[in-house]
Amino acid sequence: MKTWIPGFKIRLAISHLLMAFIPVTLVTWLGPRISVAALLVFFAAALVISYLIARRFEKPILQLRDALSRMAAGEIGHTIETSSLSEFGEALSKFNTASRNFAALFNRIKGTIEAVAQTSGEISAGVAELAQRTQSDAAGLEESAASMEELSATVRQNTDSTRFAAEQAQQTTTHATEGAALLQRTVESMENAARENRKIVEIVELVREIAFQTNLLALNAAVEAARAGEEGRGFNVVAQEIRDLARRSDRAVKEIRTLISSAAEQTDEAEKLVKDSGMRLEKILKEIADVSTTLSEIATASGEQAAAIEDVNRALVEMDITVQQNAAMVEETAASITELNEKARGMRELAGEFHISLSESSAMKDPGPEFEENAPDSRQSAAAPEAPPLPAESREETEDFFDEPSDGSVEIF
Amino acid sequence: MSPASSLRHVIVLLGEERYAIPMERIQEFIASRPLTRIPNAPAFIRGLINLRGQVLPMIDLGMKLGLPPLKDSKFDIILIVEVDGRRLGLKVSGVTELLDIEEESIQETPDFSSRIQTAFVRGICHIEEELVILLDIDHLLSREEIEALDVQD
Repeated sequence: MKTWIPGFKIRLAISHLLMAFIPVTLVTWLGPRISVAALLVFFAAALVISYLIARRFEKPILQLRDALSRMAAGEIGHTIETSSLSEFGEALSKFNTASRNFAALFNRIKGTIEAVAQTSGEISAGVAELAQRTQSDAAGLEESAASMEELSATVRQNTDSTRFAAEQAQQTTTHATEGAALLQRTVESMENAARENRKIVEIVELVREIAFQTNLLALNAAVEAARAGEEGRGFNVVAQEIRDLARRSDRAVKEIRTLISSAAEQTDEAEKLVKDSGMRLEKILKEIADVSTTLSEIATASGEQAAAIEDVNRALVEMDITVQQNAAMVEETAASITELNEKARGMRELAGEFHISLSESSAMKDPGPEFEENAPDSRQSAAAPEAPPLPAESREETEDFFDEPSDGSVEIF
Repeated sequence: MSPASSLRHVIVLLGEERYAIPMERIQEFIASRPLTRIPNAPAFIRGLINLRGQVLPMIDLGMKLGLPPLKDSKFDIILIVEVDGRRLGLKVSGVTELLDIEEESIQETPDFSSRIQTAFVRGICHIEEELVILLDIDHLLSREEIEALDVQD
């Protein structure tokens, strides 16, 4: 239920009408009897009334001026105490609402600025850490690349050494094969020698038999000579000579036999040794072939290793490029974040130039839950705070109705 | 040196030992040849040999003298001798020399106890720092042994 308040213009018109009507009435009523004194009284009364009226206008305007000048000085949320229900009162109360809303909005902006500053600080720290990590990544990559280079060199050397060793093994095989062929020929020579030896032994044996038979003949000749007595003496001498020859032959044959059997033994031994050597050589050849196989396997493995290392190297180079790009990006980001930080600090400073002062009475009178609740909550949408002020306004209008002072400071309109 | 006082001897080898046999008792020297063994004969009779169609018993002289059996070799020599009108082959390892031994240099055999047969030893003589036993081939075989050979024959 809204109480009817006469319009300002009407009230001003009535006062002016009154002021115009009073002298007219007095002149009409008193006519010429009107004295100068009466006129003076009348003007005095008119002055008083005007002053009173002016005073009524003056106070809210002054209050508004003060409030605006404080706002200009950076004080936000200042409210004017009024209980007037007149247009001035309404204007002041609208001002209060606007001021409170602005304070609330400013609070939220401030909160947002704080949040932005804080977040940007956090981002800044994160970016710094990221920069550090990227740098250490780059360093690690560089080390890895160096290690891979070393590894690559080692593997290359391995490959070369293996190839060299394989060549050596090949050469050794050739030499060993040649050696085996020579040994084979040696064995054949020795077998020939052994065969010849056996022939010699046979011949010598024959000579020995001949010597033996000669000896027997000489012995029998001696027997015959002995039987012949004196006449056989000469024959006996010849038989003796033949026996001596046979004995010498036999001795010579025995010596030759000893020599030949010793030679044959040595030849046999040499043959055995040569055959043994041949077998060893065969074994060596087989082992060298095994070594060759192993070496070629190693060479293949080394080649694969080299290829793998090449791949890893390529990947490392790509990673290095990426890391470099990352580092550059991180640097740019860091610069941007620094700028952002500065901007946030600037905004905070700018916001610091304003300070919120919600006057006690209005704060008490207008608990404005939307302020307390909305102000720190910077994330709330802009549309949300627009709704609550309306009921506050209506509440203001009902509560701040005309001259119902809650304390003595309020001037009555 | 008087020829009457010396007698020609054949020095034979039995293994490593040397023995002297009078040259006059030897009819012939022949080389070792294939022999036919005689079952149940004494061990020293090695078997029968063929000499130009005549079959003769061959005695291992070493075994007969109580020495180890002689090793067989194609260079063994068989002495053909005649004992009591019977020809025998005496197998020896070899003939080292023909030697004239003077009667004076022959010493009597020492008196051994009767258990040791010494009938076939005629004497002992020094030849080149070595004692050589002179064999008496007439007493080489006992009467029973000769008769045994007879029966064989």
